[in-house]
Amino acid sequence: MKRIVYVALALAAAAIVYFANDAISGFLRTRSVAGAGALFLLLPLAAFLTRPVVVLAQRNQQQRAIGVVYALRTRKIGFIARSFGLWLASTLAIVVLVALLYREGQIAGAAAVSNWWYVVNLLSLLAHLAPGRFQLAAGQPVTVLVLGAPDAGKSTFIGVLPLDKTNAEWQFNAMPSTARLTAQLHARARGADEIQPLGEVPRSTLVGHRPWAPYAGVRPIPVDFVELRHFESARLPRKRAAIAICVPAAGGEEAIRHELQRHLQALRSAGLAGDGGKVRLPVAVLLSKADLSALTPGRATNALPKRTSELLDQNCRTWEAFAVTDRSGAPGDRGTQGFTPQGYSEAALWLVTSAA
Amino acid sequence: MISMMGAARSGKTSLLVALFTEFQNRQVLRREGWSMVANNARAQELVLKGYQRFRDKQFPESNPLQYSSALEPMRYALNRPVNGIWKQMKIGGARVETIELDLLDPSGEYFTFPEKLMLDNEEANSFRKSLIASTGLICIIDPDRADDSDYFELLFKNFTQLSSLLNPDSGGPLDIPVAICVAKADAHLAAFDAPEKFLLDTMGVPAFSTILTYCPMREFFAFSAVGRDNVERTDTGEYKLKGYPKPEGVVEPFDWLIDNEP
Repeated sequence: MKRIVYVALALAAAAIVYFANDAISGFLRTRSVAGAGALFLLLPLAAFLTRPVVVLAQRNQQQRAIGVVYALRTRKIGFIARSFGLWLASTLAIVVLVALLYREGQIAGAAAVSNWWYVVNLLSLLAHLAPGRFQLAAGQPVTVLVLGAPDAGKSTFIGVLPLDKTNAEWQFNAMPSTARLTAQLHARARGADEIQPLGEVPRSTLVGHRPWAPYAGVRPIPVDFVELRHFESARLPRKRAAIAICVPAAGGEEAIRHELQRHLQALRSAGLAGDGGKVRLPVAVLLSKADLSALTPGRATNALPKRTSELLDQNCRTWEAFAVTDRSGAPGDRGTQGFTPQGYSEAALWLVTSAA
Repeated sequence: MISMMGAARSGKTSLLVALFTEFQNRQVLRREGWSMVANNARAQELVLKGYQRFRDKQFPESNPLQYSSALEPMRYALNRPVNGIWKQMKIGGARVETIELDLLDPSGEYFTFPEKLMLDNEEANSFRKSLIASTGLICIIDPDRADDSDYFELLFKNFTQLSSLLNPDSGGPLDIPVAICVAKADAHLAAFDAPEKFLLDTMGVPAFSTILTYCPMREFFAFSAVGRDNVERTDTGEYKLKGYPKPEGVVEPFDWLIDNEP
């Protein structure tokens, strides 16, 4: 199929040159010699580098990806080296052919060949830039340590995060371990008992559908959420990790500050602080149940009282505050309307991007 | 290959037997050229026993198999005349499209406890292999479910499990077409007219939005394995058929899945 497309492009280029040879030559004459030469060299190079590779988008689907982008993102330098080789060989062949025709006095023929080379590479480049939809292998996992008092919203943060659809560009997909927690949270909203310990680390996957994703692919990032109850028993990561401290927003300024102080002290004692005594990992303060306070869900760093901000400035290298709410329906709703989480994905996205 | 999923007693076996009945019985055949073949002894046993039960005006049993191996998947071949004028005119081209249908979990045990799918035993390994090879999925929703677990909890856990199986790196939406089928529609006639609206009203917003999230390639259907006004309740409280089954809407989901195969 690929060969048929290239043959079609070559024929189309030949037809264009047949009808518009003088116009193309005229266009190139208006450019400087260096400009025309650079175009003659770089256009084929761009076409070779962008030639498509077929990759597995998902299990059942194969998609085309722009070769050089895929090679750079998957560190397959062989593709780039091969492209340079092909470019060098083909350019040399065309240059030799044009020179031979020129020497034989076939000026029009030489111009037609070089014009055809321009056009065929321009058409190939345009064809190569067609968007695809492919996925790269998962990136390195990121760990988010979740701290907070009982009922501060730790499990809610982890469990309802995949249900937060407020950010269309970034989505946290639940893995089975998280789905079991989400199901338990839903059952609790319907009146079931308290959440049972999972016995596994809940994992979600962050997938970003950025505007350039059709050209550059999507790389999922696994995110492990470790609910910290006892610092002593946990192996705390030092890299690709971030900290979420959950505190009820409606607790009042003093209670929030006291809670934060307690957790920051514990983090320092656990050896997560640097030389200046500041916690090295990024810290997000999640002001949970924001619907019960005057806070609007989303980034709430500027909404924190001055003394609380100062406390965080003194103890954390990087920090942000977010107001979050799960709003599990009206009282008596028993989960029929489900969760309408807000603010969670913004907070989690900041945590993951800061940690990565 | 198409896979079917649904809770215990949701109508998976009845759908299969109804489909078989529909194709086998030439008098009621509505789609010439369709046929269904049981590919192994276990599959043959299931539909024959179900067929006999239908004949005796009883519903098929979900797991009536006695002698065949439980690990052998019940595999059927669905044959359909090719659609499209170009395909039909193609010289030497096949006149019939065939798709395999595997019934993996007739008792619905894996649907109720989806985490069992990840166990390291021969049965779970066999199920996983079949699911990974699937190019379409039939998800059966029973509006008269007997157990009290919520639709959201069941569907969210099942779809998440399935998505992590099909796409282990990122999970998320399934990359295969999913036919969402309301079973027992003879008792819920509104489902025949607007299955999507019926499901939203029956399951609630959370479960319905789970379907929307996980199934970007989806279509809603309603079917009755036995036909309208064909079920009566006996004095003992059991349901039995009034007459010979007149299946309704059983072929359409398969037709759509074959058309939308990736």
